[in-house]
Amino acid sequence: VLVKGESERFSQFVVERERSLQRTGWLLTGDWALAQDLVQTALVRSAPHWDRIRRRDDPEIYVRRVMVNTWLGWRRRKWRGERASAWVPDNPAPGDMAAEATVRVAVRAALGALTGRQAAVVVLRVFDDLTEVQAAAVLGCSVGTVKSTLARSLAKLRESPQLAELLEREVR
Amino acid sequence: VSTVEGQLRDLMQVAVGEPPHRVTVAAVRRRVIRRRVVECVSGMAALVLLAGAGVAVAAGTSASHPPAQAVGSGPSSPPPYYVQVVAGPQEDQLAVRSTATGRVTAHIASPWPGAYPNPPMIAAAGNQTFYVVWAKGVQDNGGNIAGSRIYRFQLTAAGKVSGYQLAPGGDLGAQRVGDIAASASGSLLAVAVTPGSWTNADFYRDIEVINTRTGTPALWRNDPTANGTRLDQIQDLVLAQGGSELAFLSTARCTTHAAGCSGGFGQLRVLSSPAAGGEVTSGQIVFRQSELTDQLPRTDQFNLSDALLNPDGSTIDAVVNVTSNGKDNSSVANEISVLEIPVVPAGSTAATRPLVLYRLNTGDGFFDRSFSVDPTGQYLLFNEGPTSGTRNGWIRDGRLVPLAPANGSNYFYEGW
Repeated sequence: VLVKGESERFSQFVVERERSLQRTGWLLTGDWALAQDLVQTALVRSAPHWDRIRRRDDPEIYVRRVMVNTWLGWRRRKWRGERASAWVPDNPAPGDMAAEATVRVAVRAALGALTGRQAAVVVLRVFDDLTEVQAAAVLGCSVGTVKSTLARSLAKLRESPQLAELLEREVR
Repeated sequence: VSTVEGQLRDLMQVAVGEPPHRVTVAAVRRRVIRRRVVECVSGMAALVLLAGAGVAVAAGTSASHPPAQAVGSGPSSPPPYYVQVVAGPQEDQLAVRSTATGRVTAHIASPWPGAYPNPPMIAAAGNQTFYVVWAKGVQDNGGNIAGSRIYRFQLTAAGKVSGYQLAPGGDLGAQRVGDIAASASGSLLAVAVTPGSWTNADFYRDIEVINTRTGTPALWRNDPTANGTRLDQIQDLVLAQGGSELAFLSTARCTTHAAGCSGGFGQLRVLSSPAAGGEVTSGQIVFRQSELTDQLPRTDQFNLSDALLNPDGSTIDAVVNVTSNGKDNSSVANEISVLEIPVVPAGSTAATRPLVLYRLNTGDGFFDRSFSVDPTGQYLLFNEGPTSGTRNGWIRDGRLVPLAPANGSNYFYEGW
Protein backbone atom coordinates (compact mmCIF):
# COMPACT_ATOMS: atom_id res chain seq x y z
CA VAL A 1 0.00 0.00 0.00
CA LEU A 2 2.72 2.42 0.97
CA VAL A 3 6.44 2.63 0.42
CA LYS A 4 8.64 1.56 3.28
CA GLY A 5 8.99 4.30 5.84
CA GLU A 6 5.71 5.93 4.88
CA SER A 7 3.95 2.76 5.88
CA GLU A 8 5.46 2.98 9.35
CA ARG A 9 4.59 6.65 9.65
CA PHE A 10 1.02 5.96 8.54
CA SER A 11 0.73 3.10 11.03
CA GLN A 12 2.04 5.33 13.78
CA PHE A 13 -0.51 8.01 12.91
CA VAL A 14 -3.36 5.48 12.98
CA VAL A 15 -2.28 4.05 16.31
CA GLU A 16 -1.84 7.46 17.91
CA ARG A 17 -4.85 9.28 16.51
CA GLU A 18 -7.60 6.75 15.82
CA ARG A 19 -9.33 7.19 19.17
CA SER A 20 -9.44 10.94 18.87
CA LEU A 21 -10.70 10.65 15.31
CA GLN A 22 -13.35 8.16 16.36
CA ARG A 23 -14.62 10.52 19.05
CA THR A 24 -14.94 13.26 16.47
CA GLY A 25 -16.68 10.73 14.24
CA TRP A 26 -19.16 9.86 16.99
CA LEU A 27 -20.06 13.51 17.55
CA LEU A 28 -20.71 13.87 13.83
CA THR A 29 -22.60 10.64 13.28
CA GLY A 30 -23.99 9.81 16.73
CA ASP A 31 -23.12 6.15 16.22
CA TRP A 32 -19.93 4.28 17.05
CA ALA A 33 -20.17 1.90 14.12
CA LEU A 34 -20.58 4.79 11.70
CA ALA A 35 -17.83 6.70 13.47
CA GLN A 36 -15.48 3.77 13.02
CA ASP A 37 -16.44 3.47 9.39
CA LEU A 38 -16.01 7.19 8.86
CA VAL A 39 -12.50 7.09 10.31
CA GLN A 40 -11.61 4.02 8.28
CA THR A 41 -12.97 5.60 5.11
CA ALA A 42 -10.94 8.75 5.70
CA LEU A 43 -7.79 6.73 6.36
CA VAL A 44 -8.37 4.52 3.33
CA ARG A 45 -8.72 7.58 1.13
CA SER A 46 -5.67 9.21 2.66
CA ALA A 47 -3.34 6.21 2.77
CA PRO A 48 -2.36 6.08 -0.92
CA HIS A 49 -1.24 9.75 -0.78
CA TRP A 50 0.39 9.69 2.62
CA ASP A 51 3.80 10.74 1.40
CA ARG A 52 2.36 13.81 -0.35
CA ILE A 53 0.04 14.60 2.56
CA ARG A 54 2.88 14.48 5.02
CA ARG A 55 5.11 16.68 2.90
CA ARG A 56 2.56 19.30 1.88
CA ASP A 57 -0.09 19.24 4.56
CA ASP A 58 -0.77 18.53 8.19
CA PRO A 59 -1.89 14.86 8.17
CA GLU A 60 -4.27 15.43 11.07
CA ILE A 61 -5.98 18.32 9.30
CA TYR A 62 -6.07 16.40 6.04
CA VAL A 63 -7.67 13.30 7.55
CA ARG A 64 -10.23 15.37 9.44
CA ARG A 65 -11.01 17.21 6.23
CA VAL A 66 -11.68 13.91 4.47
CA MET A 67 -13.80 12.79 7.43
CA VAL A 68 -15.94 15.93 7.40
CA ASN A 69 -16.34 15.93 3.63
CA THR A 70 -17.25 12.24 3.63
CA TRP A 71 -19.77 12.74 6.41
CA LEU A 72 -21.31 15.78 4.69
CA GLY A 73 -21.65 13.58 1.60
CA TRP A 74 -23.43 10.91 3.65
CA ARG A 75 -25.80 13.53 5.04
CA ARG A 76 -26.54 14.93 1.62
CA ARG A 77 -27.54 11.49 0.42
CA LYS A 78 -29.72 11.23 3.52
CA TRP A 79 -28.10 7.90 4.22
CA ARG A 80 -27.80 6.95 7.84
CA GLY A 81 -26.60 3.42 7.58
CA GLU A 82 -29.49 1.98 9.53
CA ARG A 83 -30.73 -1.32 8.29
CA ALA A 84 -33.56 -3.25 9.86
CA SER A 85 -32.06 -6.55 10.83
CA ALA A 86 -32.03 -8.83 13.79
CA TRP A 87 -28.48 -8.79 14.96
CA VAL A 88 -26.75 -8.75 18.26
CA PRO A 89 -25.15 -5.52 19.45
CA ASP A 90 -21.40 -5.97 19.35
CA ASN A 91 -20.58 -4.33 22.62
CA PRO A 92 -23.14 -2.96 25.03
CA ALA A 93 -21.63 0.18 26.48
CA PRO A 94 -19.99 -0.60 29.82
CA GLY A 95 -21.07 1.57 32.74
CA ASP A 96 -23.94 3.04 30.79
CA MET A 97 -25.25 5.13 33.63
CA ALA A 98 -28.47 7.07 33.35
CA ALA A 99 -26.78 10.45 33.74
CA GLU A 100 -24.29 9.74 30.99
CA ALA A 101 -27.05 8.43 28.78
CA THR A 102 -29.04 11.64 29.31
CA VAL A 103 -26.05 13.74 28.29
CA ARG A 104 -25.36 11.48 25.34
CA VAL A 105 -28.90 11.74 24.05
CA ALA A 106 -29.02 15.49 24.57
CA VAL A 107 -25.69 16.15 22.83
CA ARG A 108 -26.57 13.87 19.96
CA ALA A 109 -29.97 15.47 19.51
CA ALA A 110 -28.63 18.99 19.73
CA LEU A 111 -25.86 18.37 17.20
CA GLY A 112 -28.30 16.53 14.98
CA ALA A 113 -30.51 19.59 14.86
CA LEU A 114 -27.69 21.66 13.35
CA THR A 115 -26.81 21.72 9.70
CA GLY A 116 -23.89 19.52 8.74
CA ARG A 117 -21.50 22.43 8.43
CA GLN A 118 -22.63 23.96 11.73
CA ALA A 119 -22.16 20.66 13.55
CA ALA A 120 -18.73 20.23 12.00
CA VAL A 121 -17.65 23.69 13.12
CA VAL A 122 -18.83 23.04 16.68
CA VAL A 123 -17.09 19.68 16.89
CA LEU A 124 -13.84 20.92 15.39
CA ARG A 125 -13.64 24.16 17.36
CA VAL A 126 -15.19 23.18 20.69
CA PHE A 127 -14.41 19.49 21.07
CA ASP A 128 -11.30 18.99 18.96
CA ASP A 129 -10.00 22.38 20.06
CA LEU A 130 -8.74 23.31 16.61
CA THR A 131 -7.87 26.93 16.04
CA GLU A 132 -10.07 28.98 13.74
CA VAL A 133 -7.38 28.77 11.08
CA GLN A 134 -7.19 24.97 11.38
CA ALA A 135 -10.97 24.59 11.35
CA ALA A 136 -11.11 26.80 8.26
CA ALA A 137 -8.48 24.58 6.63
CA VAL A 138 -10.51 21.45 7.40
CA LEU A 139 -13.73 22.94 6.11
CA GLY A 140 -12.18 24.72 3.16
CA CYS A 141 -13.64 28.11 4.08
CA SER A 142 -12.48 31.44 5.46
CA VAL A 143 -11.71 32.14 9.12
CA GLY A 144 -14.54 34.64 9.14
CA THR A 145 -16.99 31.97 8.03
CA VAL A 146 -15.83 29.69 10.84
CA LYS A 147 -16.38 32.48 13.38
CA SER A 148 -19.85 33.40 12.15
CA THR A 149 -20.92 29.77 11.76
CA LEU A 150 -19.78 28.95 15.28
CA ALA A 151 -21.63 31.92 16.72
CA ARG A 152 -24.85 30.92 14.96
CA SER A 153 -24.38 27.28 15.99
CA LEU A 154 -23.87 28.09 19.66
CA ALA A 155 -26.94 30.29 19.64
CA LYS A 156 -28.94 27.45 18.17
CA LEU A 157 -27.55 24.96 20.69
CA ARG A 158 -28.59 27.20 23.57
CA GLU A 159 -32.15 26.92 22.25
CA SER A 160 -32.07 23.13 22.45
CA PRO A 161 -34.34 22.41 25.45
CA GLN A 162 -32.48 19.31 26.65
CA LEU A 163 -29.06 20.85 26.23
CA ALA A 164 -30.10 24.16 27.77
CA GLU A 165 -31.17 22.32 30.89
CA LEU A 166 -27.83 20.56 31.12
CA LEU A 167 -25.93 23.79 30.55
CA GLU A 168 -27.92 25.42 33.33
CA ARG A 169 -27.05 22.55 35.66
CA GLU A 170 -23.38 23.02 34.82
CA VAL A 171 -23.58 26.69 35.75
CA ARG A 172 -25.25 25.85 39.08
CA VAL B 1 -13.22 30.23 24.87
CA SER B 2 -16.57 31.34 26.21
CA THR B 3 -18.27 29.82 29.22
CA VAL B 4 -20.83 28.14 27.01
CA GLU B 5 -18.12 26.62 24.86
CA GLY B 6 -16.38 25.30 27.95
CA GLN B 7 -19.58 23.79 29.29
CA LEU B 8 -20.41 22.34 25.93
CA ARG B 9 -16.97 20.77 25.70
CA ASP B 10 -17.45 19.13 29.09
CA LEU B 11 -20.82 17.73 28.03
CA MET B 12 -19.34 16.43 24.79
CA GLN B 13 -16.56 14.70 26.71
CA VAL B 14 -19.12 12.95 28.90
CA ALA B 15 -21.30 12.04 25.92
CA VAL B 16 -18.52 10.62 23.80
CA GLY B 17 -16.78 8.35 26.26
CA GLU B 18 -14.40 5.75 24.85
CA PRO B 19 -14.69 4.12 21.42
CA PRO B 20 -15.72 0.46 21.85
CA HIS B 21 -13.43 -0.75 19.06
CA ARG B 22 -10.01 0.21 17.78
CA VAL B 23 -9.44 1.22 14.20
CA THR B 24 -6.46 -0.89 13.30
CA VAL B 25 -3.87 -0.43 10.61
CA ALA B 26 -4.67 -3.93 9.38
CA ALA B 27 -8.33 -3.04 8.90
CA VAL B 28 -7.44 0.10 6.99
CA ARG B 29 -5.01 -1.78 4.78
CA ARG B 30 -7.63 -4.42 4.10
CA ARG B 31 -10.05 -1.78 2.92
CA VAL B 32 -7.41 -0.13 0.76
CA ILE B 33 -6.88 -3.46 -0.96
CA ARG B 34 -10.62 -4.01 -1.35
CA ARG B 35 -10.99 -0.56 -2.80
CA ARG B 36 -8.33 -1.31 -5.37
CA VAL B 37 -10.00 -4.59 -6.23
CA VAL B 38 -13.34 -2.83 -6.67
CA GLU B 39 -11.72 -0.11 -8.78
CA CYS B 40 -10.00 -2.74 -10.87
CA VAL B 41 -13.20 -4.71 -11.37
CA SER B 42 -15.15 -1.52 -12.12
CA GLY B 43 -12.52 -0.50 -14.63
CA MET B 44 -12.71 -3.86 -16.32
CA ALA B 45 -16.49 -3.68 -16.38
CA ALA B 46 -16.33 -0.21 -17.94
CA LEU B 47 -13.97 -1.49 -20.61
CA VAL B 48 -16.33 -4.32 -21.38
CA LEU B 49 -19.23 -1.89 -21.72
CA LEU B 50 -17.24 0.50 -23.86
CA ALA B 51 -16.22 -2.27 -26.15
CA GLY B 52 -19.89 -2.89 -26.69
CA ALA B 53 -19.40 -6.55 -26.44
CA GLY B 54 -22.94 -7.03 -25.29
CA VAL B 55 -22.02 -10.44 -24.19
CA ALA B 56 -24.46 -11.82 -21.71
CA VAL B 57 -22.40 -13.03 -18.85
CA ALA B 58 -23.96 -16.15 -17.54
CA ALA B 59 -24.83 -16.18 -13.89
CA GLY B 60 -22.12 -18.01 -12.16
CA THR B 61 -19.06 -16.42 -13.71
CA SER B 62 -16.79 -14.49 -11.49
CA ALA B 63 -13.61 -12.51 -11.75
CA SER B 64 -12.14 -14.39 -8.85
CA HIS B 65 -13.16 -17.79 -10.19
CA PRO B 66 -11.44 -18.04 -13.54
CA PRO B 67 -12.47 -20.57 -16.13
CA ALA B 68 -10.79 -23.85 -15.66
CA GLN B 69 -7.97 -25.12 -17.77
CA ALA B 70 -6.48 -28.56 -17.89
CA VAL B 71 -6.51 -30.03 -14.41
CA GLY B 72 -3.19 -29.74 -12.64
CA SER B 73 -1.43 -28.24 -15.62
CA GLY B 74 -0.44 -24.93 -14.07
CA PRO B 75 -1.15 -22.27 -11.46
CA SER B 76 -4.58 -21.44 -12.92
CA SER B 77 -5.92 -24.96 -12.89
CA PRO B 78 -7.58 -26.72 -9.97
CA PRO B 79 -5.40 -28.73 -7.60
CA PRO B 80 -4.40 -32.07 -9.09
CA TYR B 81 -5.46 -34.06 -6.03
CA TYR B 82 -8.00 -33.83 -3.28
CA VAL B 83 -8.40 -35.56 0.07
CA GLN B 84 -11.63 -37.25 1.13
CA VAL B 85 -13.08 -38.60 4.32
CA VAL B 86 -14.61 -41.88 3.19
CA ALA B 87 -17.31 -43.70 5.16
CA GLY B 88 -15.88 -47.11 6.02
CA PRO B 89 -17.59 -50.28 7.26
CA GLN B 90 -16.07 -49.86 10.70
CA GLU B 91 -14.47 -46.46 10.81
CA ASP B 92 -14.10 -43.59 8.40
CA GLN B 93 -10.97 -43.46 6.32
CA LEU B 94 -8.95 -40.91 4.43
CA ALA B 95 -8.11 -41.20 0.76
CA VAL B 96 -6.35 -39.09 -1.86
CA ARG B 97 -7.90 -38.93 -5.32
CA SER B 98 -6.80 -37.55 -8.63
CA THR B 99 -8.95 -34.60 -9.69
CA ALA B 100 -8.70 -35.53 -13.34
CA THR B 101 -9.39 -39.25 -13.19
CA GLY B 102 -10.80 -39.96 -9.74
CA ARG B 103 -8.19 -42.64 -9.19
CA VAL B 104 -7.25 -43.23 -5.55
CA THR B 105 -3.55 -42.45 -5.32
CA ALA B 106 -3.13 -43.00 -1.59
CA HIS B 107 -4.92 -44.25 1.50
CA ILE B 108 -4.04 -42.40 4.66
CA ALA B 109 -3.99 -44.62 7.69
CA SER B 110 -4.42 -43.45 11.24
CA PRO B 111 -0.97 -42.66 12.64
CA TRP B 112 -2.37 -42.96 16.16
CA PRO B 113 -3.71 -46.42 17.05
CA GLY B 114 -7.41 -46.33 17.76
CA ALA B 115 -7.94 -42.81 16.42
CA TYR B 116 -10.49 -41.89 13.75
CA PRO B 117 -11.03 -38.86 11.50
CA ASN B 118 -13.85 -36.58 12.56
CA PRO B 119 -14.91 -34.37 9.65
CA PRO B 120 -14.56 -31.63 8.77
CA MET B 121 -10.96 -31.93 9.78
CA ILE B 122 -8.84 -31.34 6.71
CA ALA B 123 -7.04 -28.09 6.10
CA ALA B 124 -5.02 -27.42 3.02
CA ALA B 125 -2.11 -25.02 3.10
CA GLY B 126 -0.36 -24.09 -0.13
CA ASN B 127 1.98 -26.43 -1.94
CA GLN B 128 -0.29 -29.49 -1.51
CA THR B 129 0.34 -29.62 2.24
CA PHE B 130 -2.53 -30.92 4.35
CA TYR B 131 -3.34 -30.96 8.02
CA VAL B 132 -5.73 -33.58 9.34
CA VAL B 133 -7.19 -34.13 12.78
CA TRP B 134 -7.42 -37.59 14.31
CA ALA B 135 -9.49 -38.06 17.43
CA LYS B 136 -9.73 -40.81 20.01
CA GLY B 137 -12.87 -41.64 21.98
CA VAL B 138 -13.14 -42.57 25.61
CA GLN B 139 -13.34 -46.35 25.92
CA ASP B 140 -16.32 -46.50 28.25
CA ASN B 141 -18.27 -43.76 26.50
CA GLY B 142 -17.90 -43.66 22.73
CA GLY B 143 -19.28 -40.15 22.45
CA ASN B 144 -16.60 -38.39 24.43
CA ILE B 145 -13.21 -37.37 23.12
CA ALA B 146 -10.12 -38.57 24.94
CA GLY B 147 -7.73 -36.70 22.71
CA SER B 148 -7.26 -34.96 19.36
CA ARG B 149 -4.10 -34.56 17.35
CA ILE B 150 -3.20 -32.69 14.18
CA TYR B 151 -0.96 -34.46 11.69
CA ARG B 152 0.69 -32.96 8.65
CA PHE B 153 1.59 -34.47 5.31
CA GLN B 154 2.45 -33.37 1.82
CA LEU B 155 1.34 -34.83 -1.47
CA THR B 156 3.97 -35.66 -4.04
CA ALA B 157 3.58 -34.98 -7.74
CA ALA B 158 2.21 -38.51 -8.06
CA GLY B 159 -0.38 -38.01 -5.33
CA LYS B 160 1.47 -40.05 -2.72
CA VAL B 161 1.77 -39.06 0.91
CA SER B 162 5.11 -37.92 2.30
CA GLY B 163 6.30 -36.40 5.59
CA TYR B 164 3.32 -37.72 7.54
CA GLN B 165 3.95 -36.62 11.13
CA LEU B 166 2.49 -34.88 14.15
CA ALA B 167 2.40 -31.13 13.53
CA PRO B 168 4.31 -29.00 16.06
CA GLY B 169 1.82 -28.07 18.77
CA GLY B 170 -0.60 -30.56 17.26
CA ASP B 171 -1.46 -32.47 20.43
CA LEU B 172 -4.69 -30.76 21.47
CA GLY B 173 -5.45 -32.93 24.50
CA ALA B 174 -9.01 -33.91 25.37
CA GLN B 175 -10.73 -31.44 23.09
CA ARG B 176 -13.21 -31.98 20.30
CA VAL B 177 -12.16 -30.25 17.07
CA GLY B 178 -14.88 -28.80 14.90
CA ASP B 179 -13.08 -27.13 12.05
CA ILE B 180 -9.52 -26.43 11.05
CA ALA B 181 -7.77 -23.90 8.84
CA ALA B 182 -4.19 -23.43 7.74
CA SER B 183 -2.47 -20.30 6.53
CA ALA B 184 -1.08 -20.40 3.00
CA SER B 185 2.44 -21.00 4.27
CA GLY B 186 1.29 -23.50 6.90
CA SER B 187 2.94 -21.47 9.65
CA LEU B 188 -0.36 -21.00 11.47
CA LEU B 189 -3.21 -23.38 12.17
CA ALA B 190 -6.58 -22.50 13.63
CA VAL B 191 -8.98 -25.02 15.14
CA ALA B 192 -12.43 -24.60 16.62
CA VAL B 193 -12.41 -26.51 19.88
CA THR B 194 -14.70 -27.45 22.68
CA PRO B 195 -14.18 -29.70 25.69
CA GLY B 196 -14.28 -33.36 24.77
CA SER B 197 -17.44 -34.34 26.62
CA TRP B 198 -20.73 -34.48 24.77
CA THR B 199 -22.43 -32.21 27.25
CA ASN B 200 -20.36 -29.31 26.00
CA ALA B 201 -20.11 -30.35 22.39
CA ASP B 202 -23.26 -28.65 21.15
CA PHE B 203 -21.24 -25.65 20.09
CA TYR B 204 -17.61 -25.11 19.24
CA ARG B 205 -16.71 -22.59 21.84
CA ASP B 206 -13.16 -21.40 21.45
CA ILE B 207 -10.55 -21.12 18.73
CA GLU B 208 -7.01 -22.27 19.25
CA VAL B 209 -4.35 -20.85 16.95
CA ILE B 210 -1.10 -22.78 16.72
CA ASN B 211 2.22 -21.47 15.50
CA THR B 212 3.59 -24.54 13.73
CA ARG B 213 7.13 -23.19 13.77
CA THR B 214 7.28 -23.06 17.55
CA GLY B 215 4.32 -25.21 18.53
CA THR B 216 2.98 -22.33 20.62
CA PRO B 217 -0.80 -22.16 21.02
CA ALA B 218 -2.90 -19.02 21.49
CA LEU B 219 -6.49 -19.18 22.64
CA TRP B 220 -9.38 -17.09 21.38
CA ARG B 221 -11.90 -17.41 24.18
CA ASN B 222 -15.65 -17.24 23.79
CA ASP B 223 -16.55 -15.73 27.13
CA PRO B 224 -20.25 -14.84 27.16
CA THR B 225 -19.79 -12.54 30.09
CA ALA B 226 -17.37 -10.35 28.17
CA ASN B 227 -19.93 -8.34 26.24
CA GLY B 228 -23.28 -10.07 26.45
CA THR B 229 -22.82 -12.14 23.31
CA ARG B 230 -21.94 -15.78 22.91
CA LEU B 231 -20.93 -17.17 19.55
CA ASP B 232 -22.16 -20.68 18.87
CA GLN B 233 -21.05 -23.20 16.28
CA ILE B 234 -17.81 -21.61 15.27
CA GLN B 235 -17.03 -23.01 11.83
CA ASP B 236 -15.63 -22.17 8.40
CA LEU B 237 -12.31 -20.99 9.77
CA VAL B 238 -10.05 -19.24 7.27
CA LEU B 239 -6.60 -17.79 7.90
CA ALA B 240 -6.70 -15.01 5.33
CA GLN B 241 -4.25 -12.35 4.21
CA GLY B 242 -1.29 -14.63 4.64
CA GLY B 243 -2.34 -15.55 8.15
CA SER B 244 -2.71 -12.01 9.46
CA GLU B 245 -6.48 -12.42 9.78
CA LEU B 246 -8.67 -15.20 11.08
CA ALA B 247 -12.24 -15.37 9.77
CA PHE B 248 -14.98 -17.58 11.11
CA LEU B 249 -18.71 -18.09 10.79
CA SER B 250 -20.77 -18.38 13.95
CA THR B 251 -24.24 -17.95 15.28
CA ALA B 252 -24.65 -15.12 17.74
CA ARG B 253 -26.60 -15.84 20.91
CA CYS B 254 -27.70 -13.40 23.53
CA THR B 255 -26.82 -13.96 27.13
CA THR B 256 -29.02 -12.91 29.98
CA HIS B 257 -26.93 -9.76 30.30
CA ALA B 258 -27.85 -8.42 26.86
CA ALA B 259 -31.31 -6.98 27.26
CA GLY B 260 -33.45 -6.70 24.17
CA CYS B 261 -31.11 -8.35 21.73
CA SER B 262 -32.16 -11.12 19.38
CA GLY B 263 -29.67 -13.69 18.29
CA GLY B 264 -29.80 -16.79 16.18
CA PHE B 265 -28.32 -15.32 13.03
CA GLY B 266 -25.07 -16.12 11.30
CA GLN B 267 -22.20 -13.68 11.40
CA LEU B 268 -18.83 -13.82 9.70
CA ARG B 269 -16.24 -12.19 11.90
CA VAL B 270 -12.59 -11.38 11.33
CA LEU B 271 -9.95 -11.35 14.05
CA SER B 272 -6.69 -9.50 13.54
CA SER B 273 -3.34 -10.90 14.66
CA PRO B 274 -4.58 -14.48 15.11
CA ALA B 275 -1.45 -15.62 16.91
CA ALA B 276 -2.10 -13.16 19.74
CA GLY B 277 -5.29 -14.74 21.10
CA GLY B 278 -8.04 -12.87 22.92
CA GLU B 279 -11.84 -12.81 22.84
CA VAL B 280 -13.63 -14.17 19.76
CA THR B 281 -16.33 -11.57 20.19
CA SER B 282 -13.77 -8.84 19.54
CA GLY B 283 -13.74 -9.86 15.89
CA GLN B 284 -15.09 -7.34 13.44
CA ILE B 285 -18.33 -8.43 11.78
CA VAL B 286 -17.82 -8.34 8.02
CA PHE B 287 -21.03 -10.08 7.02
CA ARG B 288 -24.39 -10.87 8.57
CA GLN B 289 -26.83 -13.48 7.37
CA SER B 290 -29.60 -10.90 7.56
CA GLU B 291 -27.90 -8.94 4.77
CA LEU B 292 -29.05 -11.62 2.37
CA THR B 293 -32.71 -11.29 3.25
CA ASP B 294 -33.38 -8.53 0.74
CA GLN B 295 -30.92 -9.81 -1.81
CA LEU B 296 -32.03 -13.32 -2.50
CA PRO B 297 -34.46 -13.66 -5.37
CA ARG B 298 -36.62 -15.87 -3.23
CA THR B 299 -37.40 -14.67 0.22
CA ASP B 300 -38.58 -17.95 1.63
CA GLN B 301 -36.83 -19.43 4.59
CA PHE B 302 -33.16 -19.79 4.05
CA ASN B 303 -30.31 -21.30 5.92
CA LEU B 304 -26.71 -20.14 5.62
CA SER B 305 -24.81 -23.36 5.90
CA ASP B 306 -21.34 -22.14 4.96
CA ALA B 307 -19.52 -18.86 4.53
CA LEU B 308 -15.81 -18.89 3.77
CA LEU B 309 -13.83 -15.68 3.50
CA ASN B 310 -11.63 -15.64 0.43
CA PRO B 311 -7.91 -15.66 1.32
CA ASP B 312 -7.54 -12.10 0.01
CA GLY B 313 -10.41 -10.93 2.21
CA SER B 314 -12.39 -9.34 -0.63
CA THR B 315 -15.25 -11.80 -1.00
CA ILE B 316 -17.14 -14.53 0.81
CA ASP B 317 -18.09 -17.84 -0.74
CA ALA B 318 -21.35 -18.90 0.84
CA VAL B 319 -23.78 -21.81 0.57
CA VAL B 320 -27.43 -20.97 1.08
CA ASN B 321 -30.24 -23.47 1.30
CA VAL B 322 -33.61 -21.97 0.39
CA THR B 323 -36.81 -23.66 1.42
CA SER B 324 -40.40 -22.75 0.64
CA ASN B 325 -43.83 -24.00 1.72
CA GLY B 326 -42.84 -23.87 5.35
CA LYS B 327 -40.62 -26.92 5.19
CA ASP B 328 -37.84 -27.36 7.66
CA ASN B 329 -34.87 -25.52 6.24
CA SER B 330 -32.21 -26.99 8.40
CA SER B 331 -31.56 -30.15 6.45
CA VAL B 332 -33.68 -30.20 3.30
CA ALA B 333 -33.86 -27.53 0.66
CA ASN B 334 -35.69 -26.78 -2.53
CA GLU B 335 -32.80 -24.84 -3.82
CA ILE B 336 -29.11 -24.73 -3.05
CA SER B 337 -27.12 -21.68 -4.08
CA VAL B 338 -23.42 -21.02 -3.89
CA LEU B 339 -22.91 -17.28 -3.76
CA GLU B 340 -19.95 -14.98 -4.00
CA ILE B 341 -20.61 -12.05 -1.69
CA PRO B 342 -18.40 -8.96 -1.80
CA VAL B 343 -17.19 -7.83 1.60
CA VAL B 344 -18.74 -4.41 2.00
CA PRO B 345 -17.65 -2.12 4.83
CA ALA B 346 -20.39 -1.56 7.39
CA GLY B 347 -20.88 2.10 6.57
CA SER B 348 -20.52 1.83 2.82
CA THR B 349 -23.40 2.88 0.63
CA ALA B 350 -22.86 -0.14 -1.60
CA ALA B 351 -25.40 -2.89 -1.10
CA THR B 352 -24.38 -6.49 -0.58
CA ARG B 353 -25.04 -7.91 -4.02
CA PRO B 354 -24.20 -11.58 -4.17
CA LEU B 355 -23.15 -13.19 -7.40
CA VAL B 356 -24.58 -16.63 -8.00
CA LEU B 357 -21.78 -19.06 -8.74
CA TYR B 358 -23.95 -22.14 -8.81
CA ARG B 359 -27.58 -22.87 -8.22
CA LEU B 360 -29.52 -26.08 -8.20
CA ASN B 361 -33.26 -26.46 -7.96
CA THR B 362 -33.38 -29.67 -6.06
CA GLY B 363 -36.89 -30.36 -4.99
CA ASP B 364 -37.24 -31.86 -1.57
CA GLY B 365 -34.55 -33.87 0.07
CA PHE B 366 -31.35 -32.29 -1.17
CA PHE B 367 -28.73 -30.84 1.08
CA ASP B 368 -25.08 -29.97 0.95
CA ARG B 369 -22.61 -32.22 2.68
CA SER B 370 -19.25 -30.63 2.10
CA PHE B 371 -18.00 -27.28 0.86
CA SER B 372 -14.37 -26.21 0.74
CA VAL B 373 -12.09 -23.87 -1.13
CA ASP B 374 -8.51 -24.39 -2.25
CA PRO B 375 -5.74 -22.27 -0.65
CA THR B 376 -5.86 -19.75 -3.52
CA GLY B 377 -9.59 -19.21 -2.99
CA GLN B 378 -10.35 -19.93 -6.65
CA TYR B 379 -11.66 -23.47 -6.76
CA LEU B 380 -14.75 -24.53 -4.87
CA LEU B 381 -15.17 -28.18 -4.01
CA PHE B 382 -18.80 -29.05 -3.47
CA ASN B 383 -20.60 -32.20 -2.48
CA GLU B 384 -24.38 -31.97 -2.35
CA GLY B 385 -27.51 -34.03 -2.58
CA PRO B 386 -29.35 -36.82 -0.76
CA THR B 387 -27.70 -39.97 0.46
CA SER B 388 -29.01 -41.88 -2.53
CA GLY B 389 -27.55 -39.57 -5.15
CA THR B 390 -25.07 -37.03 -3.86
CA ARG B 391 -23.32 -35.04 -6.54
CA ASN B 392 -19.60 -34.57 -6.16
CA GLY B 393 -17.72 -31.94 -8.09
CA TRP B 394 -16.23 -28.47 -8.31
CA ILE B 395 -17.83 -25.30 -9.49
CA ARG B 396 -16.96 -23.69 -12.80
CA ASP B 397 -18.97 -21.24 -14.89
CA GLY B 398 -22.19 -21.83 -13.03
CA ARG B 399 -22.13 -25.59 -13.13
CA LEU B 400 -20.80 -28.45 -11.09
CA VAL B 401 -17.94 -30.16 -12.90
CA PRO B 402 -18.30 -33.78 -11.78
CA LEU B 403 -15.44 -35.50 -10.07
CA ALA B 404 -15.02 -39.19 -10.56
CA PRO B 405 -16.77 -40.94 -8.97
CA ALA B 406 -19.59 -38.43 -9.36
CA ASN B 407 -21.73 -40.02 -6.66
CA GLY B 408 -20.45 -38.55 -3.43
CA SER B 409 -22.69 -40.43 -1.02
CA ASN B 410 -19.82 -42.08 0.78
CA TYR B 411 -17.76 -38.94 1.33
CA PHE B 412 -18.29 -36.86 4.41
CA TYR B 413 -15.78 -34.18 3.69
CA GLU B 414 -13.40 -33.19 0.95
CA GLY B 415 -10.56 -30.71 0.78
CA TRP B 416 -7.90 -29.62 -1.72
